[in-house]
Amino acid sequence: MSAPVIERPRAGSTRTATRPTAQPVAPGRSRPQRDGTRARPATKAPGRAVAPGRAQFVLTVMVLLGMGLVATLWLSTAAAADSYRLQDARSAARDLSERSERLRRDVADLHSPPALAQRATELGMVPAKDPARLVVASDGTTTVVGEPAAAVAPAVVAAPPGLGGGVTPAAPAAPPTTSFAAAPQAVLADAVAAVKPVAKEAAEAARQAAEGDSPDATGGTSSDADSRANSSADDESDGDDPTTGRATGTSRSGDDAADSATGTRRAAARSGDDTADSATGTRRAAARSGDDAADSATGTSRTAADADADSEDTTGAGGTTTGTSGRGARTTTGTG
Amino acid sequence: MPAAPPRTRPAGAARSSPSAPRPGGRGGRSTTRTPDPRRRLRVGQIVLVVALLVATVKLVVVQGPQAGTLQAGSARQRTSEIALPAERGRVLDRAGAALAFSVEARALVTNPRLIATTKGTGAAAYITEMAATIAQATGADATALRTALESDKGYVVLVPLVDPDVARTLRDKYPEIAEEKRESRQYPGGALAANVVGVASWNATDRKLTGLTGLESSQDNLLAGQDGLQVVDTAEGSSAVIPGSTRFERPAIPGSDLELTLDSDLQYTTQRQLAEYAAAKGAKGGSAVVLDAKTGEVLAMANARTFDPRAFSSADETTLGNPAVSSPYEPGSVNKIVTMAAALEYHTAAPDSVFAVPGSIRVADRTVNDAWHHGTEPYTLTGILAKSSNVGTIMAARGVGEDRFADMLARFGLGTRTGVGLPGESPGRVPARATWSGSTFGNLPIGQGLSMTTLQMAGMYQAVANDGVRIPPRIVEATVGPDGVRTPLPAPEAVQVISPESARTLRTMLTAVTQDGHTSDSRGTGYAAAIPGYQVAGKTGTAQQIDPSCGCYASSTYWITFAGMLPAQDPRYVIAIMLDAPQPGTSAAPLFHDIGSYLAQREKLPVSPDPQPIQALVSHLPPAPPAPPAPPAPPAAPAPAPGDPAAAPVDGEVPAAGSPPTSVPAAGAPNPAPPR
Repeated sequence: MSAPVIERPRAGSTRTATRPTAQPVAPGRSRPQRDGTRARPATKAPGRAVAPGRAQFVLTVMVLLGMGLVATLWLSTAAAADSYRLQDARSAARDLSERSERLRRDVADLHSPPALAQRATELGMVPAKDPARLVVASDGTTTVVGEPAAAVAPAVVAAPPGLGGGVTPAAPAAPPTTSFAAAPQAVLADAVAAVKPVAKEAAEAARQAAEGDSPDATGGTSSDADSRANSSADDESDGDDPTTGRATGTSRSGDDAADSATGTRRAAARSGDDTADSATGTRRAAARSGDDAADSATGTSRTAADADADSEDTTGAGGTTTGTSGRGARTTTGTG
Repeated sequence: MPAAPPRTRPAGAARSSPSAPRPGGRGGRSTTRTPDPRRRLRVGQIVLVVALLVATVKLVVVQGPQAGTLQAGSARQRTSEIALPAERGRVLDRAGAALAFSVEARALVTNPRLIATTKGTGAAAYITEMAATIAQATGADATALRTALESDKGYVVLVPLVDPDVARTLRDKYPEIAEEKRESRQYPGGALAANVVGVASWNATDRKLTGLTGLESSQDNLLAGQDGLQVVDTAEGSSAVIPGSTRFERPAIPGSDLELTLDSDLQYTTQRQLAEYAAAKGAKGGSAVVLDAKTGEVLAMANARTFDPRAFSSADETTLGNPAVSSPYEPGSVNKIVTMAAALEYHTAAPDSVFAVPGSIRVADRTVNDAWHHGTEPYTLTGILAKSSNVGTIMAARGVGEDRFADMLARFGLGTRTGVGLPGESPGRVPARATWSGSTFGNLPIGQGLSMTTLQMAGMYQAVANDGVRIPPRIVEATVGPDGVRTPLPAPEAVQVISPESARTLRTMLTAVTQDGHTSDSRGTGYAAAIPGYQVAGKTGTAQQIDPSCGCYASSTYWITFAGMLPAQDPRYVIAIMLDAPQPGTSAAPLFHDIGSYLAQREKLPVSPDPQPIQALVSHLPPAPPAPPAPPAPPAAPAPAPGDPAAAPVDGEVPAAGSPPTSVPAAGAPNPAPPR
């Protein structure tokens, strides 16, 4: 209201006031214009002596300003570009974490005992009832404990809710139940023949195992031998008779839930490498990698040195062999 | 300040003066206007001052008394508190395999009303297409989706749990769909240990997973963790966070993991075999517990009737509990080991002590029969246990005495909760010593008139298996905090129930239960539990159930039990089984055999060096070298000479050898006659 009226004179007075006071400064301002033309002669005046420095200063400032401008532009462009990259990286990370979450879930699902049992059933495996066991005395003699009998697929039973589907009796190409009743001696002889070549090698391995770090393990069946023997026996006897010592198992690394799905004759060879491949045709060796077996230093003992000598006995007995080698942490349950 | 300008105003006044000529012709006005400028100034001054005062007052009011409310209001407008959900901990088995864990998920929600208004006539076609797409992407039911989309609601949840990427794709496709963050609980094993682990499901009110049953419920605080909080400014009307506006942030503390002692594989096998066996035998239910004999850890805890937590909403409510710890029952002859343990511990009888056991015995006003008719027979103590003679057990219990027997019941942990760590645990029921009537002592030794859970039953046998030291069973091994620090739960206090020697002797006696001498005199009641190659110690049990209609013991429904350990010489596993009202004649021993055989195979238990000895059950069997080791100390009570059929170690009434078995049960009264 009255304020502008009040201020106007003041503003006017300051404006007029600055003009005279600006006089001494004004030359300074106009000097740079002269600098270009006759800067040197003007050195006489004290104000003029500063002139080249000012020019440089101004130039510097301008350059700096320019550089700043460029830098700002560059930074903002870079920031914008980076923000896109960041966004991409974030979404990639999110996708990956979601994927890992999903994989984790899938692994847990497939890893669970019901799923494993289901898979084993689909592969035609049936749980073994009471296996016959070979007890190997320290003098190398073996005794069969229990009655060897083929495992029979159970009738369809209603599975408890949520524990996977019912056990459907597998209908494998090769009948799993005839291994002993129908397999005559000739077949066994085949198997023996197949076993023999590798028995020596196996004995070596088993000896090492037995002499290893578990003296009370009292040897153990030549598990290594058996696993290899299995493989080789496969090669030779598969064609002859599919009923020969059918061994079913499951191959799996990592933790060991698969045991819930035991096979008819389960060759559960725990070794890192060689046995899983023998899961062909009628024989499936269950290879387990892992290091948890050494605990069962059982009394079902057998010295390693006897391994090759006994391989024939083992086969002849036609029993299910269970043994543990001390260090090798490999066990074979199988039929020869 | 305002006072100063007017004085220096000549210029302004001069400017205005031409418009107000003093010597103007409008005389009257000019006279009144003469003081005009001043008055106007004055008025202006006053107006200004008043305005300023008003402004000052308002300022003070706003900054002073109203400051709080205004500030709060503004904060409300822009500040939002965002809860940072804490991830729920996992439940692991003893090998570290997850029995329950959480994954991130989204719920798809939408506003059907909005779709109807925005799409107008095309809404129906749009909804159909939308429902089909969502159904295809998520596996939900298309018709249910359509119904939801056509409903006249402002908010519907289309699919409760969807993977985040699927949800994002759908949301991008249909802008009407919104996502809500959720946590989906996964139970990879399905019904595996479902009664132990329980279920947690999404709680819409708390916006987090909440345990409903089992450990998920009882350990909810531990598993749930603590939600974090973030206070930030958001743009009004949206959830976009203004960068750098975070005022407060408390990070979420994820829940702890729970490590159980369960072994998934064993749990699966036990659960499956129990369910199959119970179904085959027509049992209403049943439960089985496998304990580690040395540590009392629960390796498996199965119930015949269970549920799948993945289909929780459709589960039968009666299957949600955990009867193995919550439902006590009368154990029957399984309880006879209390008498035997006491008799061995107090040296009132030795395994080969011979009792002249008649067919029935009178206890106070009741008569207790054996399950089979027989005259007076010279059974050894081992024989009494192996043939599960009620009469013989009561005779042996009399030798122990009521007080020592009651004390032994308590030491075996009956009548008290084991503290296993599961919700809803029942302590069972043992009548207090003071309330015993005359006939009580005829009931308790044979496992009637008291109740226990399957877990308690397993605990009793664990004591025998662990050289007399009972370690209360535990199922939670440790908790693993969010920082990865593993905290094992404190070890339960061990109780020395009987001496190691007595425990060993009792184990040998228990192997007689599973022996099969192929004659009726040398066959135990649980021979079906024997596992070739191993010595198995165990005890069968049959208890009459109570008929609710008459309050008396029913004559046709039984609790069938079996408890035992494997291998008998150096037990590693204790298995306890209960079947609820299976077909008559069912024994639980074959199920024990199945589970035990699985354990022997899987754990590669060493085959027993010696075959199971055939022990003398009736004293006149000719080849009766007492297989069990001799009692550690000479019996305190006058020891009966082995082989003397007439010798009876108990005082009081010993029916004469020729006395006829008086099997006249009082009608309606408890008439326990477990058939082995």
